[in-house]
Amino acid sequence: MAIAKTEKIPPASAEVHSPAAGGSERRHKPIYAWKVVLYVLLAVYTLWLMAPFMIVLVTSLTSSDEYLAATEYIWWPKNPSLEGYQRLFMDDPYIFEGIPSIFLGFLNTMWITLLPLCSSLLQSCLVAYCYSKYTFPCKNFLFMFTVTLMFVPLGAFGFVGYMFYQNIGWTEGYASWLPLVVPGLFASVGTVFFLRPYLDGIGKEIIEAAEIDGMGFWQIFFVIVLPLSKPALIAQFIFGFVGGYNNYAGALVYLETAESQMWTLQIVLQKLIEYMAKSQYDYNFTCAVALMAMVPLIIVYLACQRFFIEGITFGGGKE
Amino acid sequence: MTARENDAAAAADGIALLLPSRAPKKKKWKPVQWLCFGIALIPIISFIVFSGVPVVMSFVSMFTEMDNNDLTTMQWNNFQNFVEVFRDERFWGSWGTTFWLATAQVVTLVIALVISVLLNAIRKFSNVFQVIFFIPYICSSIAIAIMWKWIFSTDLGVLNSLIGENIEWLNSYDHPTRLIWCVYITIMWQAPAYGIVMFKAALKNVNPSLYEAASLDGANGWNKFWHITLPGIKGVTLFLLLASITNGLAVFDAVTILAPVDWTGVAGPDDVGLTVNYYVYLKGVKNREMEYASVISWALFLVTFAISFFVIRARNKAAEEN
Repeated sequence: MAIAKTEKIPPASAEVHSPAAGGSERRHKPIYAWKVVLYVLLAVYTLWLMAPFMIVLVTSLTSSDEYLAATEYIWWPKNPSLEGYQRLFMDDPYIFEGIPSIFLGFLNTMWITLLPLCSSLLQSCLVAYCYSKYTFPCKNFLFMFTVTLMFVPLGAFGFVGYMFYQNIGWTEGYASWLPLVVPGLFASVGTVFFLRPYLDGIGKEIIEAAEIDGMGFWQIFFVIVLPLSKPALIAQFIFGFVGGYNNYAGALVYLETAESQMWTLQIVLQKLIEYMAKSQYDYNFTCAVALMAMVPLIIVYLACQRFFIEGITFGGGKE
Repeated sequence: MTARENDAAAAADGIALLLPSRAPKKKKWKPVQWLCFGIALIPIISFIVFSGVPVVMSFVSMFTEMDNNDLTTMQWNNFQNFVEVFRDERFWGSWGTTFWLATAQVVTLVIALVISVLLNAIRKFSNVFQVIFFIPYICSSIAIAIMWKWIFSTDLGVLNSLIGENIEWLNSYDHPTRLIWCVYITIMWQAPAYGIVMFKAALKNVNPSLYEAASLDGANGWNKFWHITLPGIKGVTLFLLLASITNGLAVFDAVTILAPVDWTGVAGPDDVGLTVNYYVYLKGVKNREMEYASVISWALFLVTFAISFFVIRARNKAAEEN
């Protein structure tokens, strides 16, 4: 529906003049000029966004020998080499039983992100289902309470949790993973608030029909509600996955002093950069590491970009 | 339909559904309803345990002294933490950097709005551009900071090669503020991605008949933008502003890469890279003086809360008007 709408929208900026006036041949020219300006501006912004990637890519393909002789940035290496990428395997100071730290970090990131995310989404959907389709004791009070909690801006308290987890012994050894995983395992107030209006939109008749068919609470949830709420769940999944993959501050607090095989990808990245800052000619290695850390998610994004864009604007766009 | 109406409808239906025969309303709850009650408690309890308790702990710790963040060594210390924080030059300095960098978020919103309006004005390749413009959102701020650090680097960096001089951008003791501008650019490169997509979705939803009516009344492009487009996307703008303020004041990731602490614990030349959240991290986690860091955290919370309060009020007003 939204797509059909766009066709009708006249462009918001200045180029549409009088739709009523005649002289169509003369009207085409200024529109054409405006369009060119628009495309040029957008192309410039594209260049601005892509330039850092290109700069880093070129450096990652330049050998350190070439840099030893250089006096300025090398725009194009004479002998492109994969040295920077080879060094991921050879010169990694945090290599663990033959696995480069960046790959181990990737695996750690995956399970630390996916396990809580899936568990939390399933539960949040269940909670939203209860609110949406059932009455129960103190329902309205509990929902109001949930919404109030959601609006508390806790961004300022990102680090104070450290004291709590330190005192219950979750900052030592492998327990350092727990603060990153356990709190995320449960339904979250924000997701419940987000999912409820969506579930409200699922017709009562379907649920009633299912009840008449003798389906119980859990069966209705798993067979009917869960599949029907897939679009909303995908939207939340994307947010959660991107956030978890790129989570740095949260992981840094608990994993910075942990052993290297426990690090997540972002921590590995920071540690490698810290390590390489000490030596002079690790430019290609640095750039290769930065690219390797970004590429997996960019590939996933490009492959499913429709889900990303739709997911991000889900709900938010229609305030 | 509002959430309240939905509730009422759901309540009526639910009772009819679950207590079909002459059961007196609301007196006896069925097991399945107690099950729902229990399930509804999950997010509240987990929030209280994993967010509430740490925050309350930090509140209590502000008035005490501890060894190594160990709660058992807690001792009342006569508001000494507040006095110390108030006299701490690094604390005040970190606010300067934070506010400075937070303005990048406002600039970001403007960039995002302009780009999304441009995107909305074209038809061909509009989606291709959008896909590209969203890429920075996917990238980790650490990797992005590393890219920009390489661009700003002294000897072989791109920027210095382009202007043909060897300028110290990130570590200049004569011009420490250069570092902040570098962080500023790094943030400005990444942050518009989210806003562009959100704005573009909102622009699509502005009622097209309004534009047609305005055209008939002889409004020009700027008038239409000012009187139709902007009011039409007010809700999203305030939502983005709210998110920007919270994120902007909590700025942390990029500064830790562009201004790593040296062995004396100073972030960048003259400590200019120190933001409030960075300071909380250094004090509370690295130095394990969470009682001191808690005071700073609460100050940050109050400032964030105060600013967001006005935005939320404006947002509620806008929602009522629609």
